[in-house]
Amino acid sequence: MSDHAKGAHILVVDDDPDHLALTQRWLQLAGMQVTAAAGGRQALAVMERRRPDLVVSDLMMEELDGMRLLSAIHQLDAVLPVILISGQAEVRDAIQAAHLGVSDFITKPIREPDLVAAVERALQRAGGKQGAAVQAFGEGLVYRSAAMVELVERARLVAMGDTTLLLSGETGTGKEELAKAIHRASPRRQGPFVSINCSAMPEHLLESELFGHEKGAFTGANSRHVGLFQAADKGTLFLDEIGDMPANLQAKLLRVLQDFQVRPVGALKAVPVDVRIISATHHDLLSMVCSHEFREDLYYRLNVVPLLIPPLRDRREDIPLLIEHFLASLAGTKPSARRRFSPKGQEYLLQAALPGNVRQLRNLVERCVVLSTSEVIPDQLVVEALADQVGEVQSLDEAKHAFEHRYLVGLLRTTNGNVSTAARMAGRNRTEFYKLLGRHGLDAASFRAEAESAGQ
Amino acid sequence: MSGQPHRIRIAAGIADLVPAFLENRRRELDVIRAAAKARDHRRLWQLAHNLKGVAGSYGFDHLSAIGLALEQAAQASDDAVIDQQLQRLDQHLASIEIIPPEDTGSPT
Repeated sequence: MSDHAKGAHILVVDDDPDHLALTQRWLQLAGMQVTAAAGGRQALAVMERRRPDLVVSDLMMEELDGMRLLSAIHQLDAVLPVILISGQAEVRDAIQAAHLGVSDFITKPIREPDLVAAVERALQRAGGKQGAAVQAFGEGLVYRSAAMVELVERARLVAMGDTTLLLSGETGTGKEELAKAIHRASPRRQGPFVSINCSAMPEHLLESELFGHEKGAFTGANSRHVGLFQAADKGTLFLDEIGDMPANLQAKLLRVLQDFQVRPVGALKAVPVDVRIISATHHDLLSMVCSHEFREDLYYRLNVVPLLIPPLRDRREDIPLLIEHFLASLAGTKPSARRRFSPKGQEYLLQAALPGNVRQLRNLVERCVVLSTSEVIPDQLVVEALADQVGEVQSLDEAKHAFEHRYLVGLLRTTNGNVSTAARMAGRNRTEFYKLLGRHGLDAASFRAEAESAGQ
Repeated sequence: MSGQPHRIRIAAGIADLVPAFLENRRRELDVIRAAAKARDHRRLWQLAHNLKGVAGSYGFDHLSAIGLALEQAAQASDDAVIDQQLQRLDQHLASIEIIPPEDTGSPT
């Protein structure tokens, strides 16, 4: 059995006592914890006391039928997976149920392996058992995964102090959201949270933005400008993409971190500042230190407490929660604007590579919501959105690398693995070209062999 | 058919549930009879529909098939077939013999 199902808490609802006992037993034999309810009302009462990981309910019940129970369950918990069991006569209901967000639909008579497999599938889609309950830290940081629980525990702890923090994680993992959440959980929460992206502007502008300047400090400095260090006084300054900070500014930042005083450009006197620094990067800062692209002394100043945000692919169980969070926030206060994915559509998102992490997922959900004219987002919209996103989130370096790789492969194919010819065509000398091939793990000999076996 | 036992082997994991299941079916027979006598086809359909499902899930395929025939007859309001299926149900319930899971004798 999958880990998703082992120990999961399943609520089984059926007003036929024999069928109830049977499904309860089968799921228990499969290692799940099962609570049995003899009807819809009892089921809702159980749910009030303890939220299950999944509900298996009969569709045709006298007191409160499965469809009405489903709607009541979703009022309590919009993401709770529900499997409906029905006799064959209610196929129309099955279609309706699929549109109402039922995880699966099983027809009686049911077989033990079919039931267990359906439960495992639905739990997996929903992100597994919720023993780890849905949690949130700040806006947008919704999670259940052990990796995020651990990260946030650490973040909450360090939020209380004044330590300089370095957040690392891939593009789109939510570094700024985490920084904001830490700020709000810190004693500085009444102060400002000021953020700046160090890769987004030229060096002299970044310097002036960070440290400020006096009137007439340089051509075009028509008035005095208060820098972000001073603007963030008594608060938090978030330095995003710190790895892209030019070397000169790295030195200046280091001085600020040493004595917490800033000297605006053109000013004679330094001004004391009371700021907590949280910086973030998607680069491997340590390897940048090794390659002398980043100052070692600054690295150690910034990296007092490192916090690594795991990529979405390492915490897929958080995806359904994030989807639900985005759907809710996109609908705002208008219930009529509320959209949902079909189980199939949700599965497409769960299986997507999502290299752009949370930001990419949000963009995908938003696109689907905007384009959907029905309450249930058509699966085709999800497929199209995913197809259009391929490659869109590559960084320039990644795109360059991918192009170079394709180019070299094409060149080696064209020249049948002849390095001298390929190097000449690429406008590189043989030594450089060999290095290039080495960087891409390409072996010219294999292209020669390929050509020979093809009879060329 | 009557007099000949229907031997059914039950999976070990659910063997202890089967006596209550059969007892409930025998008790339900009276309710089904009452619905048939009252010509309450809707109620009869419900009972038969349920019998078909629960018997099938427990692995009592023959009993489930009677449930299906009864369900269809109730839907068609065909009282002659209903009576016929009721008789069949009565006889079948009386002829069921459970083979315990540990018994390796071949079922008939």
